[in-house]
Amino acid sequence: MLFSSEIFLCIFLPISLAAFYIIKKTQYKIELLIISLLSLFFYAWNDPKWLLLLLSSIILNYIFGQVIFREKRKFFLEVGICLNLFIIGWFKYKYFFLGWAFPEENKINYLIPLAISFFTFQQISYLIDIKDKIVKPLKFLDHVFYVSFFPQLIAGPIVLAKNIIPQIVQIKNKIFSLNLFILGTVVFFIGLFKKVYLADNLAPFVDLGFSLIDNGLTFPEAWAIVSAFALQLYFDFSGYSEMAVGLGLLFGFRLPVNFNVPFKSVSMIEFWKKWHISVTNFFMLYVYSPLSLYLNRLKIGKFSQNYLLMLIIPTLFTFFLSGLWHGADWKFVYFGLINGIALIINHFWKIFKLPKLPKLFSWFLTIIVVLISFVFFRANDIDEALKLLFIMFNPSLLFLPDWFSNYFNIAIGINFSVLPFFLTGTFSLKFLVIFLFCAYLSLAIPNVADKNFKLAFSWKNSFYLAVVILFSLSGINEEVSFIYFQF
Amino acid sequence: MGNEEKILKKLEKIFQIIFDDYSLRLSKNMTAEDIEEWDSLNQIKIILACEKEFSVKLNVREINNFANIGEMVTHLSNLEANIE
Repeated sequence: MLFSSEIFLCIFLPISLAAFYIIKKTQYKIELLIISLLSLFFYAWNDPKWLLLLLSSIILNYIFGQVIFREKRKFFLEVGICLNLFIIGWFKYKYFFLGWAFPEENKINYLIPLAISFFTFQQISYLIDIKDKIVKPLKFLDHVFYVSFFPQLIAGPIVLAKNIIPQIVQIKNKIFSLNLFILGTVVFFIGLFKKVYLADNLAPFVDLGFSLIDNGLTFPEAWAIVSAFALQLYFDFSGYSEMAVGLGLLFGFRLPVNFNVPFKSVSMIEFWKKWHISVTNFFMLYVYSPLSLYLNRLKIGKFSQNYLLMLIIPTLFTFFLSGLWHGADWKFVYFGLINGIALIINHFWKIFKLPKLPKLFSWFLTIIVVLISFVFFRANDIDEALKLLFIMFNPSLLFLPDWFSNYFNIAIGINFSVLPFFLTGTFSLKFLVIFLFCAYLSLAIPNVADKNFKLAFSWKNSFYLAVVILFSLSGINEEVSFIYFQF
Repeated sequence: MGNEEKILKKLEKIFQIIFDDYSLRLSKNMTAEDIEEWDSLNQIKIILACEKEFSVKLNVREINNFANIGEMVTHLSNLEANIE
């Protein structure tokens, strides 16, 4: 079930909210049970066969949570993590590794269980936090609710146990807050607007452009469609994340922020503080930092200068894994490694105190690197990505646009029509308007999901909100899925 | 000077070296967000430097869980007390 579907907005959400707020607070266990059951129903809506897998994962991690808390040995944590990795490995990466070992066999199309990356990693963090004594194990019903709560189940944000457990405990004392409810509604509709009006309007241009890589796509077209894809991905996923945060607020829960206006970043370090924050935090806390500390505690060389152990190996390993997390395909590994290498260069730039670049130039460099990595993210395979990169870095394919040449023919009298700029027709005035509008909004829309975001009531904001709601409602129920659902 | 004040002073010195800013002053209510240059690499450097300075072993997730520098100071003080 999609957040942007009529069935969700008109039936599922009102029923869930009614169930949540009508039940008296003294019966919060019934409340948790009903919301959990509704969430499982939400999960099973399109493809019920994976429900058993989700429930098995929940029961398994509930048991391991209890055992890790009681038994102080690290062994149980290691078994718990290995079992989680086995499950995700089996359902998501089996054919990837088989294809690696036996390339001829790698032709099988297989379905990945919905949200498996999200609920598996969320529960791995839960087990580790219990071992670290950061959280105590949850009661069974609380655990089911923690994993299955529908706003965050399908595509995150990855909610760490330490952030949500105190909020689950507080359900007992919940008081309906009109301000929080209004804020949740606003945040949800801004997310919906980003998804159905911005991302989905960019999608046809991106799809067309990528389908023409072998059919004469030109240099400016290539940059245009990759930039358009960056905006599509941002609006698609940040829109989804904001819908999730907004829905969380409707139920009185504060879910973590996932994006913080990332395209304003002037360095790769800054970009990765602002892009897909919940997953970045997960990899930073549970992979990069422990690995970096472990390698440095081995005391190979002087720790203060050993950047190979402190930075290079842990960063490359982390981005290799985070690339694979996105999908069982080498193209995602390339996506991860490009970002990892760029991040290492950025750190060394600071370490060696190289001169600070002008902000505009730093921004430009950051965006170029991000776009190059997104080529691998979007392309169907590595070959296609390399072909597109060849076009992007071959300015001899620069020509003038057809639509522009007509103007020049009349105004200047020079026949530019012999210089087909956007040869394939992927570029049009309509595309330019949508692209510029989206590019502007990607920088202008503030991080509405942040806890410090306050609603300022004014006629101007009310007008903007009315426009956002109107346009987003006009686009609901389209048969377009969310990009991050595949992960 | 109390034990926590001594730890805060030592921490301040560590932060000054790592962030290469000798005008940096630490206070107990400061957070990572108050220091612009705070990133994952500098956090590792801080943990390793603290482990060396205070002869303790730190957990990055615990450090990350602290609301501010004050909680880190209290944690280091408790770890030192346990060792003694």
